[in-house]
Amino acid sequence: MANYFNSLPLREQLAQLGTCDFMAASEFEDGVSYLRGKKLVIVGCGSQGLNQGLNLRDSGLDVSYTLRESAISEARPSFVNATSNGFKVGPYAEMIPEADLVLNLTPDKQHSAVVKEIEPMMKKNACLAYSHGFNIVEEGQKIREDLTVIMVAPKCPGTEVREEYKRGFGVPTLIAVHADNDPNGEGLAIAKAYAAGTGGDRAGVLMSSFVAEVKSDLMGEQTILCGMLQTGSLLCFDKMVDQGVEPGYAAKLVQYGWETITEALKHGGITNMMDRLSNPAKLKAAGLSDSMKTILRPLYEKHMDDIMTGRFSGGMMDDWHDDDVKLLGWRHETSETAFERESISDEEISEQTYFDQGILMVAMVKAGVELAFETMTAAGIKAESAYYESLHEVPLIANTIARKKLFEMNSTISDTAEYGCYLYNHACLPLLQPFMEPLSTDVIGRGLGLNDLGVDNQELIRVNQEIRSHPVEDIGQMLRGYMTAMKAIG
Amino acid sequence: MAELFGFDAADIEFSSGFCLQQLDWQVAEGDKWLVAGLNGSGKSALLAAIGGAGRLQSGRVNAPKEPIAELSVAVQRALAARERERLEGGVDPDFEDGTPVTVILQELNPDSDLLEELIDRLDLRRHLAQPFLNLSTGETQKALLARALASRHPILILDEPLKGIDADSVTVALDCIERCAGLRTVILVTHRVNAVPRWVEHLAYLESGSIRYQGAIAAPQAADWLEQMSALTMTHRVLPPRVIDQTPLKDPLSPLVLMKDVQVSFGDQSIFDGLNWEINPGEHWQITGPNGSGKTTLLNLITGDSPHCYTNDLNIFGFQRGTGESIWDIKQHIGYVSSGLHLAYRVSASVERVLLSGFFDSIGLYQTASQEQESIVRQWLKLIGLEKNAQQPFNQQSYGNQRLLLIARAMVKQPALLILDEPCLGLDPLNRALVIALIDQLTHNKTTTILYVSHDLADRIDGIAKRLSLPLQG
Repeated sequence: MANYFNSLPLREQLAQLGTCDFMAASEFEDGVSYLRGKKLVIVGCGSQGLNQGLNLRDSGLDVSYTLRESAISEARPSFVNATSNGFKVGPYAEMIPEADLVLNLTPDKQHSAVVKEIEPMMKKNACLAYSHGFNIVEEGQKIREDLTVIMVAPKCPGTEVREEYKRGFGVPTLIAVHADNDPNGEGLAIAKAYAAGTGGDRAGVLMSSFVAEVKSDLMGEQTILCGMLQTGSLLCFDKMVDQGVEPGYAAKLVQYGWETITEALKHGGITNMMDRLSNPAKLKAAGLSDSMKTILRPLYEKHMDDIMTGRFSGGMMDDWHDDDVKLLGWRHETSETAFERESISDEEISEQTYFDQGILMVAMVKAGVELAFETMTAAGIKAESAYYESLHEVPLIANTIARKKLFEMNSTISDTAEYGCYLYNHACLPLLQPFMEPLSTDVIGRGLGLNDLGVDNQELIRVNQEIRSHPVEDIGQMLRGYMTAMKAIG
Repeated sequence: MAELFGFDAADIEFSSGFCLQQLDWQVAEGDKWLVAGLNGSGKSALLAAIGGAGRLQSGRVNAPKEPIAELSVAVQRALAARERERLEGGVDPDFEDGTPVTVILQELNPDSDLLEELIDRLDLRRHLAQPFLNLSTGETQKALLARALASRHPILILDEPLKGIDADSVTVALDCIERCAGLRTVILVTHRVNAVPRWVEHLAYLESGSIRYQGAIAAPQAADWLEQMSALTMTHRVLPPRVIDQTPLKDPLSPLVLMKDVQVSFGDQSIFDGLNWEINPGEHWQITGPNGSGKTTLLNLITGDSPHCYTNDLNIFGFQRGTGESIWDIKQHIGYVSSGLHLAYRVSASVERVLLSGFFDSIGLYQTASQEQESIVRQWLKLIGLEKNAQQPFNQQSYGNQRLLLIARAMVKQPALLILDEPCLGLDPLNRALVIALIDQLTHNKTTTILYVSHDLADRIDGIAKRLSLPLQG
C-alpha cells in the first residue's frame, strides 16, 4: 500500500484538497429514506460507534454491531456498550455478509487490519463508510471495485453527536465520496442519508473529500487543537509558578481558562475573544500573538509539509510497528508534568478574570488558530475546511481539558492526534522558551493591574482592523451564520 | 367569644372516600368567615361536616347547637328532591302543583319585615304564588337566598350565594347579604375572591381536605392565599386551539400504548418481567411508586428514550417499535414534562421560544415557527397568566413559573399523550397548586390523554381515574 495522495497528479491533488462546500438544507429533504430498510452494520463500538448508532436507530434505520471475536467472548467495553443499549452484536462472519452499509468506526490504527478482514465478506455493491480518511489517504488502502466508499465525519466528539441529536438538533458534519469507489453513482445519496440519520443535516453538512478531510484534520489537531493547548498549558503554568503565583491557582487558571476563553471564540470568533479583553490587554495580546506567529510559522509549515508529503503518517506508522513506544513514552511524560499533578485551588475565579489574567493564553489561541488557518489555506486547503479544523474545534478540546486536564484531552482524542500533539510539543517548547523568558505575571496570572485603561487611538484602530480582517474571521462569520440560521438562538 | 361550634384535630371520612384531615377550627359567636379553596379542596365537605355529615375517625367535633340557615347546592338538591317526592308520591292536599314559593320562604323562621324587604329587592313578588319547582335557576337561587337571609337562625351558611344570579341582580344580592350579615355568625363560601365582602373578618383556606390557613382576612398571608386562588381558578377558560394541519394519529380509536410482555433489566436487576399494559385514548392514568420502582423506565419506553423500547413488543400510536419508524414520529404525538427536562432546559432562550420548541420536540428552537404556531403560543401564555413575560429569558422566571411554562410547552400541540413526570417536584405549595389546577383543567380536554407520575398520593387529581402502582408484584 502506498500513500494515496502522493499517487495523484498535482491537478487532482489540488482539486481534492480544495473541496469543501456548505450544502443547502433543501438537499436533505429526503432525510434517511435512501437507507430505509437497508442493513447498517457498525464495526466497533467506541464513542463515535455507539453514539452514531443510537442516532441512526432513532432515525428509523436498522442498526447492528460487529466486533472481533475476542471483544465478544471477553465481554469488552465495546460489547457491553452495544448490548446494554439493545443492539444485536455478532462476529464479522455473521454480520458483514448481510450488510448493505458497513460503518468502519474503529480506531485509525486498526483500519487496515479490519478492512482486510471484512472486505472479502462484504456483499456485492455494498457500501463502506468511514468517519475519517486516514486509512484511504495516508495508508492508501485499496477497496474492491464494486464497493462504494464514503465518509461521514461529524465534527464533534461522539457524546456531543448524541446530545445534540436528542435536543432536536445535530452537529456540523463533513461528507465525502471516494473518487476511486463510486461504481453506481449512489455514493452521495448514501452519504446524505447517513448524515441525515445522525442529525448532521440540521446543523450543516459540508461536501468535502477524503483528502481535504485528512490533511486538514491532521493539521488542526496537531498544531492548534491539541498541540498549542498542551504546550500552552505547560508553558503558562510553569511561568506562573516560577513567578510566585500559588500553584493551585495557576493550575486552575489554566485548566478552566482555555474553556472560558474559547467559549467567546465559539460564539464570535477571534474578534469576540479579543474584545473580551480591556483595550490595553488587547493591544498586549495582539503584540504577543504577532511575536509567537513569527517564531512558530516555520514549525506550522513543517507540520503541514510533513502531513502533505506523508512523512508524518509514515513516522507514526513506524511507531505503530514499534508497539507505540514513542507514544506511550510521551504519554507517561505528560502525566508527570507539574501542571498535570497539581491539584487546583478552591478559589473562585470569575469569568472575566480568566480573560484579564490569561492574556497570554488568549494570544496563544489567536496565534495558533490564525497560523493553522493561514498555513492550511496556503497549501491549497479550502477556507471552510481550514475553519472547521482550526477555530471550530478548539472549544471542544478546551472542554476536555476543563474536565480533567491533559489526561482527559489525551484520552478523548484519537491516538493519531495524540501522537501528532507530542511531536508538536517537543518542537514547540524549545522554540518558545526564549519568548517566554522575559514575560511576567502581568500577562499570565495576575493581569495588567492598570489604573488607567487608556490607549492610543491609532494603535487600537489598527489592531482591531487586523483582527477583524483576517480571513478566518470572514469565513467564520459566514459559517457561524449558517449554523445559527439553522439554530435560531434565543 | 363563646365557641359556637368547632373541630379539634378531627379526621372525618365521607362515603365518597374524601377525607377532611386534622381539622382544627373553632367558630365563635358572631364570627364572619370566608371559606375558600379550589375545586375539590373540601369546602362542601367542611360545610357538610358542620351539619353532622361524615364519619369521625379521630379527634373531636363540637357540633352546633343553634339552628342553621343554609343556602347551598346540597340544600337546593334536598329541597328539589323533597318537592318531587311530594308530587310523585301522592297528592298533598294543600298544594297540588307543589309547594309555592311563599311557603318555602317561611320555612326558616324568618323576620317578616326583613323578608318582605328582600322579596321586593330580589324581585320575587311575582313568583310568590308559583310552585317552587317551576322557578328558573336564577330565580330559585334568589328565593333560597332570601329564605336564608331573612331567617332568624343564628348561624348563616352561604355556599356560592351568587351562583346562577344574573349580572344585573348581583349588586343587589351582595347588598342584601351585607345587610343581613349583621350580628349573625356567617360562613361564606365563594370563589369570587377578587371582591371579598368587607364584613368578612376571617379566612379559612382549604387544600386537599386540610385547612392551610386560618386567621384574619386582613393579614398579608390571607391575601397571598386568595391571590393564588384567583390565579388558579381557570375552570372557565377555554384552551387554545390546535394547529390546523397537525399530523393526526394513524387510528384515533386504537390504543395509544400497547405493551406486551415487556422485559427490562439493568445488569442483574429486573425492573419489568412480563409487563402488559394498555393506554386507550381518553383514559387518564396516574403512575405511582417509590424511587427505583421503574416509573422513569416505563415512561422512557413510551417516549423512545430507553434503548429497551427496541427490544420489546411495544406498539406506540400505531407504530410497532423497531420496524423503521423514527423517534420523531413518536415524539410528535407526545408532550413531555419532568423535573429532569427542567434541569436539561438550560439553553438560554426567551419564554416564547421555549414554548415554540414544544411544536418541534426540541430543546432550543432550531426551526422557524409559523404565524399560527406563534399565535397559539401567545394564547397559552395568556392562559397561564404569563403573556407579559414572552420575551424575557426563560431562566430568569421563577422556578414555579418555569415549570408551568414547560407544561404549556408540552401542551402547545395538544398531543395525543401528555406525560407529566412528577410535575410538582421541587415546587412550593403555591406553585404546586397552580400546576395541579392546570393539569386538572387539562383532564377535561378530549384530544389529550394524560399520564401523570407522582409518588405522592396527596397529589391526586380528580379527573385521573386509572392507577398503575409500581413496582409490580409478581
